[in-house]
Amino acid sequence: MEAVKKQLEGRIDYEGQRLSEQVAYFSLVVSGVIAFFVSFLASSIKFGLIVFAAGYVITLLAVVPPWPVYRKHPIAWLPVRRLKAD
Amino acid sequence: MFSAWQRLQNTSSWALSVCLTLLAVISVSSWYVLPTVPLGSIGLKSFQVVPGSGSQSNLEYALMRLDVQSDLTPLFANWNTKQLYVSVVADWNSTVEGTQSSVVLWDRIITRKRPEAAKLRIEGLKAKNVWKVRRGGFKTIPSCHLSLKYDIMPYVGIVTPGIGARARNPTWNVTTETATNSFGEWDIAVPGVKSGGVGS
Amino acid sequence: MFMDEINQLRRMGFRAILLQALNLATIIAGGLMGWKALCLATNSESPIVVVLSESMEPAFARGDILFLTNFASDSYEIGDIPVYKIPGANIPIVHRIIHSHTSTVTHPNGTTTETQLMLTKGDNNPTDDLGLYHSYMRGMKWLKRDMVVGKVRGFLPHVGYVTIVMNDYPQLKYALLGTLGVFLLFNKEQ
Repeated sequence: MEAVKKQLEGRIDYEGQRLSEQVAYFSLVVSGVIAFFVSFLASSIKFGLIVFAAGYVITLLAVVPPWPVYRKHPIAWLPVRRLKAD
Repeated sequence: MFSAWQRLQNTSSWALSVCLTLLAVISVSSWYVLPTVPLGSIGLKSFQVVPGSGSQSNLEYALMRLDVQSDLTPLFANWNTKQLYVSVVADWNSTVEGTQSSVVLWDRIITRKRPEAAKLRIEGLKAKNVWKVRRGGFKTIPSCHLSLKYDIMPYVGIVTPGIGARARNPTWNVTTETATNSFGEWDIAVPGVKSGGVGS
Repeated sequence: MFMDEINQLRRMGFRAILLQALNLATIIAGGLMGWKALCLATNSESPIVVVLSESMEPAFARGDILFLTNFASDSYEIGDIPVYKIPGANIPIVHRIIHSHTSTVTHPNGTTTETQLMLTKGDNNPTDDLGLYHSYMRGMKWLKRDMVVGKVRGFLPHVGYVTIVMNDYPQLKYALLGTLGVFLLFNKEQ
C-alpha cells in the first residue's frame, strides 16, 4: 500500500521541480499566444479556445507524470549514522 | 511541485489565469479595432396622426412609413461580433418642461449566420410598435430625430452601441393642417386633429 | 486507509487545528473582501450576474455571465440593457430598454433633478414588460433608475452555467463545498 502511494505521489527532485515549473509556464503562455492568433485568423473564438485546451492537455502530460528527465539530480542524502549509545 | 498532485494543481491554476487573460485580450483588442459604419439614411415616406377609437379613444397614433437604408456589414468583419440589435428610434424633446423621450419604432436582430441581412434596404417600413401618445400629445412634440441605432453583442467582451443611419434632415415641421418635412418634399394631410398635428 | 491522515490530525494538536481553521477563515474573508471591493468599484450591489432565463436569446443564453456598472453618470438609452430588480421580487431581470422618457426639473436654487422612466422588453419575449411590472408591483407602469442594479457592459458566455446547475441540484453544491472544506483542512504548507 505504501509503495503504491509513493508511486502515485510522483516525487521528483528539486532540479526537476524547477524544470517542470519552467516547462509548464512556458508551454501555457505559448498555447495562449497561439490560441489568440488562431482565433483572430480563423475568426472563431471557439477554435482558439480549443487550441488552448489542447495546449493545456499537452502541458499536463509533459509536467504531471514523474518523467525520468525530472529525476536526473537525486538529492544526495548523508549516509545513515548509527548514534553510539552512551 | 514535488508531487504529481501539486503539479496538477499548480498547472491548472496557471492555465486558468492564462485563459482569462486570453479572453480579456480578445475582448479589448476586438473592441479597439471596431470598424466604423458609413452613415446611411432614413427617409420619412408618410406621416399621419390618427386618433384612437373605442377603448383607445384617449390616445393618438402616429402612422408612418419610412425608407431605411444602411450598410452594417463592416461590423461583422470584426471576429468578435456575434449579432447586432438594430432599432429605428425616434428621439424628441417635448415642449412640456424639458422632457426628453425616445421610443423604439422597429427593431430586428441580425445574427452572424445571415450577414446579408446587415445590408438594410427597407422601403416603406412600418413601425412594429405604433407610436402612441395621449390625445393631443402630438401637439406638444415640435420635432423629432429619427435614427437607426445598433448594439453589438460580442462573443466575449464589451457591449458597444452605435448609430447606423440618421434621417437626412433630422427634424420635421408640422404646421396647421399639413405636415411637411423641411425639404418640402411632401405634404401630408393630418386628418382628425384640430389645429396643427405635431407641434407648432 | 486514511490512518496516516487521522494520525496526522491527532499529532497536530489543538493549536494546529485552530491554525488551519484560521487559514480557512482568511481565504473566505479575502474572497468576500474582493467581492465587496468590486461592488464598490462598479457602484453596483451585484456587478456580476448570471443569466437565468431565455428571454434575451439569442443575445444572452442561460448560464452567461454579465458584467455591470451602475455609476450615477451612466446614461441609460434605448438599446442599452439594464439589469433590474423590482422591490418585492428578488430575481434580477435582464431586458432591453425600448422606451425612455427623461424629465429634467430645475429647482429655484439651481439644482436639477432628473427622473427617467423606462419601459423594457426581452428580445425573445412577444410583449414588453408592462405585464411583468404589474405582476410584481401593483400600479407600476415604468421602470425607474433606483430599481436598476446596473447596466450591462461586458459579457462572458457559458461560464455561469455551473451556478445554475448547483442551484438546480443543491446536493452538488453541498458536495462541492464539503470536499473543498476537507481539502483545505488537510492541506499542509510543505
